[in-house]
Amino acid sequence: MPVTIVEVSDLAVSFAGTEVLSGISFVMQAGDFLGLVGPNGSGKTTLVRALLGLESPSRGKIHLFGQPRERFQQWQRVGYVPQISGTNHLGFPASVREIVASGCLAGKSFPRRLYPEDRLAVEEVLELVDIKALAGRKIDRLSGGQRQRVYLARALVAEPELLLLDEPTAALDPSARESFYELLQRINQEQQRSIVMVTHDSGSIGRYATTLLYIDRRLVFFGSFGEFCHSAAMTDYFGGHAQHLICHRHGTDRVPQ
Amino acid sequence: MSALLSSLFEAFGYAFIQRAFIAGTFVALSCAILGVFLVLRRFALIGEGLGHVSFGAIGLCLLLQLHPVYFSIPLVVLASLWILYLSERSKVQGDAAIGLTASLGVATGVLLASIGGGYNIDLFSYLFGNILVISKTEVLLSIVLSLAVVAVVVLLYHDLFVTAFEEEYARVIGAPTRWINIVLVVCTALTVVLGIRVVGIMLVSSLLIFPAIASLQVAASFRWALIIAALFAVFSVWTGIIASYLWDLPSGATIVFVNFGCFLAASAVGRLLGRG
Repeated sequence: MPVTIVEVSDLAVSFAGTEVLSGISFVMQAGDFLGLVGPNGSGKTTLVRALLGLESPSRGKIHLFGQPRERFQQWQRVGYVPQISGTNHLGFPASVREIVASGCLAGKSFPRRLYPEDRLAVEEVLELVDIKALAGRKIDRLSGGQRQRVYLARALVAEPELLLLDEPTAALDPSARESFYELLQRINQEQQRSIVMVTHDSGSIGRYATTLLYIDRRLVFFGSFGEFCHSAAMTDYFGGHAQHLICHRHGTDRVPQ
Repeated sequence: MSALLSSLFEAFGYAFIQRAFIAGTFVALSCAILGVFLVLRRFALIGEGLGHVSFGAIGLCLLLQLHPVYFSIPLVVLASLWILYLSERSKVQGDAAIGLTASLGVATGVLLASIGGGYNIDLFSYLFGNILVISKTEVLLSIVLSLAVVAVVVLLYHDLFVTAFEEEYARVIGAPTRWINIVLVVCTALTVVLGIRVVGIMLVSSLLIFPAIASLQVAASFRWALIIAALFAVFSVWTGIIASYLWDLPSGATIVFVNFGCFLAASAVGRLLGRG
């Protein structure tokens, strides 16, 4: 029986009296890999921040693991990989191991300490995301792809059931991007972790995500990629050519007739 | 050489030199450790700002005939919370909040000096500090407050680290970032007041900034950045006190120049190691 882990109903978020998101409703089940797609300024990051409690809804409800988000405290069940840029953390003297270990603090109560089992978890997750060789390196000495793996490791180390990733592949070249997607797919399928990934890469995400949530300040589409590619409403919305471009990279069976 | 050594041994025989070493070591340690967090949070100039505030606070204490160090502590702590409030809760950016508060502090000091008249020399003696005239009680206060600051940093180490690295991520994983920021600025206010006796109001931010930026040139991890900053700070204070005694130099300025020397050396080593 499917377990609902995220439930969003009629969500709206406003900044200075202007609604930047409205009418967002969707349900996510355990094990889903949700691609959150939309144009620039469509509110993707705002939606993720609202899920994380970093933005307050002006209307609507968010439930995480069956609890209203305002009362949700089990943040170790949610891993977060924020958006990064090339200049993030330039000159910060932290090693990869130190950064990944900071993810173990999720859900711990004051005074937060790291225990031997946390150190073990760090070594395991470094292995999982294939950055063990970088453990002693400073974060600002890594490439964009390597840094993205470090942040993924930090999010994974507390063994969350849900991963929220905000444009993790934005700064990556195509080959690093594909390898990152494959890693996420492995984490989703082998470890049964649910994933919400914000991306502009609407073409590639279809090959890995199980569900598509397309927003443009409001809900445009929510469903499987198959449904998206065969939806006449989406053909009307995007135009046949744009819909074809989004769909063709994951097989002709999803290309609109 | 032997004359130099005998002068050194002679120096350590004086109680005022011993007091300077003890107080200087503890103040340098707490300043260096906090400095790493402040520099990485782009909040390094808060030391400069609070130093200027302490000018006004000390002026007020002198006017009211209160002990300048003890009674300026709560005033400078309040100013630190005011800066934090302005930068977090209002539309005033962090550096502007520091500048604004610092200007008010200096203006208060100048006004009070003008009104009070007679104590101008006392007030202006705090501008450049003199660790060699530090009292026994001030040494004790330096030890207690510095140890308290170091204990807070040790207790909150992981929360301070994750907040310094990425405040938003820290909030997501449940770190009490608001309280962490309050603790950081209050500890900074305490160390600034103590640092004024070591290098003076005008130079106090150097105790926070120099060891931190020197350590950032060479440290390969955060833990090592704190350790190296502490070592640089203590070395600078010790060397500065000895040099100022031997060659009759102003102690505060000498300590700052030794710190600068450490920074240059660390930059060179950092380049050699490929970390600078």
